[in-house]
Amino acid sequence: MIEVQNLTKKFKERTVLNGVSFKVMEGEIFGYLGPNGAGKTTTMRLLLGLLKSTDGKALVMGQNLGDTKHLRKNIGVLLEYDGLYERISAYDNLNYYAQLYGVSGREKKIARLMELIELSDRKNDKVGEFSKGMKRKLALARTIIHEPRILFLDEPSAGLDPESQKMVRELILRLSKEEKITVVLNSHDLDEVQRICSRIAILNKGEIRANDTVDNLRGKFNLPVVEISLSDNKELNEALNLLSSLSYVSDCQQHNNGIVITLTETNKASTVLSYLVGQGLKIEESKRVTRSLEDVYLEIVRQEESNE
Amino acid sequence: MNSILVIARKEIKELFGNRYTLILGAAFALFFSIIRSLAIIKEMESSIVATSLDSTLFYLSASIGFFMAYISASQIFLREKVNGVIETLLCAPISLRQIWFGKVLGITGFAYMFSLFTVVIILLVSGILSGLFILPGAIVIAHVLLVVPTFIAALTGLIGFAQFLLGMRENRILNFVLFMPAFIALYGIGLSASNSFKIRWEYIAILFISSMLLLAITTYLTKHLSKERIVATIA
Repeated sequence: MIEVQNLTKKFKERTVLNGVSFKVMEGEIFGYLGPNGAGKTTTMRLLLGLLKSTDGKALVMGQNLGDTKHLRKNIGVLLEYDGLYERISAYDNLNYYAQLYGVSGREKKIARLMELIELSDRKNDKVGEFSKGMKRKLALARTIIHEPRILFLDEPSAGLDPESQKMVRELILRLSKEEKITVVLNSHDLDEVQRICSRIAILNKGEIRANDTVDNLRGKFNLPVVEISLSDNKELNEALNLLSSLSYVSDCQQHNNGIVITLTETNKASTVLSYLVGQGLKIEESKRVTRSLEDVYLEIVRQEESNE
Repeated sequence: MNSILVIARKEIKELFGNRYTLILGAAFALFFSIIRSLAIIKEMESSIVATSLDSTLFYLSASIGFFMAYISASQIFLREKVNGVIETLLCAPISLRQIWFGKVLGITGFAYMFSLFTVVIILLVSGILSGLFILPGAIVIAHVLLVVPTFIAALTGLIGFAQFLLGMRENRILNFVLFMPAFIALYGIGLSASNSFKIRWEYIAILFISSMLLLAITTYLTKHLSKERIVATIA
């Protein structure tokens, strides 16, 4: 459905994207993650045909969106800006885009969408009077009014309250499952990405650092982690010294009154505990830590920084 | 064509939704119409009144139209770049030229209404105050109905093209260096020549052809306007 091959974009001498490649299959929800300035929005703009690549290809349904007007009917876009006109009503905004996309039965579709985003009673109000969250919901309705096959969403739930965020998540999942809509989701919200994306790519400094399913990524970066609590600071420092000399300890960090120990092998958890107890340390509590996507993401980004 | 009309209708609706622009336009049109009407009725001879009325209608309808187009273009072209709405519009199944032309059409329609409003006010005020209702000559009628909208469209097209093409800073400079002085010059020349200036068919023909030419050139230039250029100059 979407194919990005060796995509490179330079603005004058500055390289924003460098040889980015990935594929998104039909019906997939693809999360595109990365810190600010990583090149996420540039990738999206290249895919949408708003920018021209310096090298490589960004194809949507086998073609460049910038060249094919008719193909853009299949695309729904929610960018950083809401793309709404503040001086006209919510209804007029939706009606305007519906007309541009040649939507038939506009009245019914607009009414249904206004109901979905719970803004039916405000449909005749000017958008300029709406809160940020209301505008974002209306923008989402605008994005799907023409029933697109592919959605490009840039931080879709930014500025929304938790209830609305849930509504957006459920809507994206439903569109993907029931209508086989392909979704490319740019987001900083790792919890959201973890909940809805089938696959993610992590971009940093213009290059893809990871591209896999959420579970596989967590698995790849999932070195076993054990957290222990000790009785006092003296024991804590002693334990840190002892742990740093062990070959099967990849990393150990002080965390409040405890230590977070990253091991090189899963079966070394009991070994390290026995070792510390054997050295006369009083371990008050120990637990195995499950790593979240956030941990994986931060590890990839930090790894990059430490390599420089 | 349908998409162009959809855009034009939306722009007119949006401009009418802007109270500030409406009040400014109406105040501007009323002020200059009344001032000029008072000057016209000072003339004693009806033939001079007719000449003065024609020349006033000739330049004021165009000047007010230009002024409103200038104000509206900033509301439409520039504002969409500032708030990033243009990016969403560029993803719709319409060409950049259609977007540009739809906006030009909408702004022209809106600005032209103020030109017509100016004409009506001048005719009414001068007629009521002098007790002498003089209808404008055929040249002025042709000018108001045909040349003025073309003239407004040509200038709107040029302003819109420049606002799409240039960054915010360059646009600000262009406003002060080119468009504001152009408007002041247009009004000033018209004002100074209004009593002695006799309108001829050749003049409106030249203005019409020049406007058409400018519109054609700008339409051609939009072919070279890229989405990348617009996106890269978003504030």
